[in-house]
Amino acid sequence: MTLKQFILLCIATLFLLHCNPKTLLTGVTHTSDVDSVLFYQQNPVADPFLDEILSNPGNLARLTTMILPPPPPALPNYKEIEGFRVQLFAGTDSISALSVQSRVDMDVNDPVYLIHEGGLFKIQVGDYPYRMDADNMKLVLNNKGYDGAWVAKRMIHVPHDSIESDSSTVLPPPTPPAPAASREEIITEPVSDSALTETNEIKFKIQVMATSDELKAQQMELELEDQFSQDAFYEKTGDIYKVFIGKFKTRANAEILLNKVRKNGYPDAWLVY
Amino acid sequence: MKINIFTIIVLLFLAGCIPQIKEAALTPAPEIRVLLDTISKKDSIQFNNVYELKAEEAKYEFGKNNSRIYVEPLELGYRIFNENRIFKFTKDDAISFNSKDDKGFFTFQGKRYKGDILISLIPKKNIQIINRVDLEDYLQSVVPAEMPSQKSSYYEALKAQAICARTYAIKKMDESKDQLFDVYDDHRDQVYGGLKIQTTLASNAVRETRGDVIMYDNKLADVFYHSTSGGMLESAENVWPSYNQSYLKSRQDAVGRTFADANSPYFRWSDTLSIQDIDAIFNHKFNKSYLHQIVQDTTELVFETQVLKRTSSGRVAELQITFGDTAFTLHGYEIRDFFKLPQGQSLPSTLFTIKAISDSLLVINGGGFGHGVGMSQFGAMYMSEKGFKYYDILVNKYFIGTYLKKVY
Repeated sequence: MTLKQFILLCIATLFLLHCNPKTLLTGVTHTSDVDSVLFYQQNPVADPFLDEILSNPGNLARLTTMILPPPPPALPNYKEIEGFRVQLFAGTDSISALSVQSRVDMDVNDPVYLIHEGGLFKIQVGDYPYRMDADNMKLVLNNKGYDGAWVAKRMIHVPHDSIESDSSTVLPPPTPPAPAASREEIITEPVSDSALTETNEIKFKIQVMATSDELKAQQMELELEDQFSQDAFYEKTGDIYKVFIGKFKTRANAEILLNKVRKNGYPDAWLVY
Repeated sequence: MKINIFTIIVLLFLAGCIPQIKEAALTPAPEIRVLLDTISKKDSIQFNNVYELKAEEAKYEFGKNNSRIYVEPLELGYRIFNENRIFKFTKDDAISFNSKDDKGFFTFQGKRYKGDILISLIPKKNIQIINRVDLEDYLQSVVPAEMPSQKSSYYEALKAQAICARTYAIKKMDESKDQLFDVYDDHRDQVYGGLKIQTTLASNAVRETRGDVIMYDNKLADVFYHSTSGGMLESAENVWPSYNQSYLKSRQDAVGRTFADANSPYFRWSDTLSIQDIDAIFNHKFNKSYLHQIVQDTTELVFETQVLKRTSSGRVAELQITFGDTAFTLHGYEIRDFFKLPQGQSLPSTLFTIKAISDSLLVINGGGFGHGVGMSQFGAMYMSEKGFKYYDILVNKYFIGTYLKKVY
């Protein structure tokens, strides 16, 4: 091979390279895995999701829940029973009543009440289940310059627990009638004892669940009795069976069990009465 | 020596034969009118090149010194102004800002657009800002908005997408000749993202398929596409009752032994709803909360849902909903929209089963994203990766029985 021929060959190669660089540089044609299978689908592809949809066209889903009534309101921390107070003032003038109240407030430790009833503003002191205590306070007040003080019989406030714990002893003993002259004025409303008996009959219980299935309710009743060794029962209201545990006279006792029930697998249990 | 001279001459001759790539004179593409926005308050347009406003008496140029103009609706008509000039127009005036050359673009609401601006007033003191743009330029901003265009393996899918988008757009242009605009710039038609979202790959896909459309029976085909079929394509008439094309029928969307869009994140999906979620939906939609109503006694609250009817592809066509004392039946797209939480998304598709896994928990297991009619974009992307050509994706896979044609 002569030099000239070699140069010629070089030029020719360069020329060819320039003409179609891809064939020389890469030398790769695009390989594809296209085949006839890709275009003509012989068999459908099996798929559990699509099969389920096509075999079960009308599926149904149902959710249920219970809407609960609001919990019972908290009871006041005192109870009303029949008793005695010392009345210092009765008048139509509220400003005088207020000034008397503020003065008495400083002179005694017992609670001082401003009551508006029967068109009169009254200032009363203390909550005394026994007449004797009221009479003592009357003397104290008389000594302090409140000459017009007298003992009035009416509903008084006592701490909530003291009645329930030993209700038999706290109830005031029959009292001798007070001097008639003042009494008739003071007791403007007849004192009914219905409130008293009603509150005494309140029974607290704990509702654990509500269901529309009686079998479930029965089962729950048995489970609860086993677990807490307390009387469990269920009641039917409308279409719903409510399962309860315990019957209590006092809220405090009921709450002890309520806490126990909540801690032991029934966090949604609540108190009803 | 003679031979050498001869050889050189031959070489020179051959070199002269190297085909020169000539810019072929292209048939101009038609222009499409895209509604960018309907404004009811003052808004502005920034010109990045010289734009002309032709008024009756004179021609005004914008974009040299005073490049920003403001458009504001008035009681009767509207006005256009900048620091130097105010133009007032009556309600019947439709005006246009025309780009002086084809490099011009303008900025509106943070996006850049090529082409002209048409402005006209519509009832209720609203102004329509319309972009009139070369269809091919439009497509270059649609394809990358509708399909991922970063991976070169998606090139064939992008070409298929470009042809679909072009066919859809031309069909819309034919239908809307008497309207003020042809297409919306969002999912109501096709997402039009402006100049900033263009990518080289998508633009090449549009250029390479210039003028190509899908035809059926000597007419433009009805072209639909969606994200993910979930393995099952839907018949068009099940979604839009007026359509009944033989190439848009329900069938499996499979390639060999796998589903074409099995790689899509929406191929299978699952959504869990609690009874509280459902109550929140009711509260949001009907201002009615059953869970928070005050009751006198313990009351049972039931939510029930039942599929009453499925389409031939298995998609839910009718869904019965009962909650408390409310009962109604949902149809079609309403179903997807109904299960939307106040801050959530609609259901991806109606291809689903619905189950209660406990007394208070509902599970919706579904497949696919979108209506399922026509081309699955994830399916097309998979086929593109597998070496399918765009015409196979369109003519042999998704629109069987159609053919491609160059219309310009």
